Amino acid sequence: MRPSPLSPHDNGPSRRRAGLMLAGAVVLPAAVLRPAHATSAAMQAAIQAWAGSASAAASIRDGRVELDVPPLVDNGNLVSITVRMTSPMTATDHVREIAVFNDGNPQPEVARFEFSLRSGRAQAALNIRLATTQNLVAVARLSDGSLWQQRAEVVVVLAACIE
Amino acid sequence: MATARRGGGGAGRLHRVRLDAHPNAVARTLISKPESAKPGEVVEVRATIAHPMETGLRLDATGVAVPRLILRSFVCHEREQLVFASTFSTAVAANPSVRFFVRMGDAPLTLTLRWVGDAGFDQREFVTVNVGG
Repeated sequence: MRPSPLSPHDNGPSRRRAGLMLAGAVVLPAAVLRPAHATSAAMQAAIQAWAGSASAAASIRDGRVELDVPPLVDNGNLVSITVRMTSPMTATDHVREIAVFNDGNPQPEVARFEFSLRSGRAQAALNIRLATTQNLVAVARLSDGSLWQQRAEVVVVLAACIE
Repeated sequence: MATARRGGGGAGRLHRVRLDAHPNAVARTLISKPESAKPGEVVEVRATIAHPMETGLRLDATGVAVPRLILRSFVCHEREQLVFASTFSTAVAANPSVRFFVRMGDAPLTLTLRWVGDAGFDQREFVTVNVGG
């Protein structure tokens, strides 16, 4: 079997550097592309406040948490959303909280869901209002402190908040 | 699924209640949960409460802002132990319906569901899940 370029037996400094450069080349474009998603400043500020700091907000990674919301909503006054994350929900590995934010309602917060070991499953559903076609973001905080997000775009035909 | 109802009303229909007129009026609730479950099983609970969730951003017919009147939180405890909590904003729809999960222990579940909101709103409901097949 050939040793992998990054195996501990292959300790030539030039080859190790090449490996690091390769890793950087793969990671960097993803980091550069992320701000291309259109999100309002108010939503970003709310996510940062929830995360606790700018550095915490910057550490949010895409994936793992799921946000179920219909892509096309007839009536914005009643939209059912579900958040979930696959987790063993043990003392050492569980989901602490999932928060949902939006960029099209008057206020960027939608709801927060806190879980415990007694929850057994990190999943919750709630009926919400959407004022207009917009993005929803669910952000999860795990017991190890890591943060994960999932974005969903929702097209609203009949907006909420209009009499 | 068994359903616990409170506040009367036929066939579990939810009706809007004028909480601004009676801040401490009992709101209608509808709570779904299994009758019984095995130890270690994860069971689903659905808790709905009649509430206008008035955002405070709407104007009435005379152009005056309707005061905000929302529920701010929902919390579920199993005896003294926190199971699940949710914080609501004005984006939560009228008659909030929250679904969540609870892991069964060896003993029957005794759940306290509590909603807290504007104008001193504070309501608790109690449901149980027996241990069984």
